[in-house]
Amino acid sequence: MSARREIISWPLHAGAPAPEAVRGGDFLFVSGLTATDPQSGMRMPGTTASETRQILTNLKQLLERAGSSFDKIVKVNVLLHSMLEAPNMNDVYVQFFPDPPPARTVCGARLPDGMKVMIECTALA
Amino acid sequence: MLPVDPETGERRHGTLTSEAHVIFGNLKLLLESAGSSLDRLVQVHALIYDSIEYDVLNRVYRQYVASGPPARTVWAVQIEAGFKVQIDAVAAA
Repeated sequence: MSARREIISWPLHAGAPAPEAVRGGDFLFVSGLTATDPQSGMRMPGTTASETRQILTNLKQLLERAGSSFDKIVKVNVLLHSMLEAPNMNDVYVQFFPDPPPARTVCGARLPDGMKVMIECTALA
Repeated sequence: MLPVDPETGERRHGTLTSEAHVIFGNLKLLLESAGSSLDRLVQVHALIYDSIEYDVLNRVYRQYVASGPPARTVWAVQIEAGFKVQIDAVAAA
C-alpha cells in the first residue's frame, strides 16, 4: 500500500522545474515561494514586508485550492536575505497566522534573483 | 545528501553539475532500495553554494524529475567540505 502523491500547480513558478505544491499522503508540501504576481507569474521584488505579504497572500490561495488552509500548517521555513530584517517579516507574518502559530524556522540565505524573502511550508492535506 | 562515491564513500568534488549527477544517482539507489523511487518524491531542498548557479542546477535537476517534479525550495548557503550542492528529500513510501 503506497501513499497518494498528487501535484498541485498554479503559475507562481513559471519556468522552474517544480510545482507550487505536492500532496504526499496526509501532508501537503509547498515549494519555497517568492513574491510573485499570481496572474502574470512575474516576480514582485520589494521590501521584506511587501514580499512577505505577497507570498502569504498567494500561499493562502494556494492552500485553499489544495483543500488546506493556514490553520492546517504544521511547519514553516522562512528564508530571509538578511536576519536584520526578521522583525519586518514578523510584523506581517503574525497578521496571517492563527494564535498559536505553527512551528517555524527562520534563517538567512542568499536567494535566487535577489529576492528578499522565500517561504515554504508543510500542511495537513 | 552530498556527492560521495556510493561504493567507497569518497568525496566526489566537482562542478555543480557533476556533483548533482552523483547525488541524484545515489538518491535514486537509496530510494529504490527502500521501495520508493525518484517518481515518488514529494519535497526536495536543494542547497547550492551560490545562487548564480540556479539555472545550472535546474538543467541537471530536470533530467531526474521528468515525470511530475516534487515541491522544491532552492537557496544558497555555505556547504560543508566545500561542496557545491547538497540535497535532502522526502518521498512517498
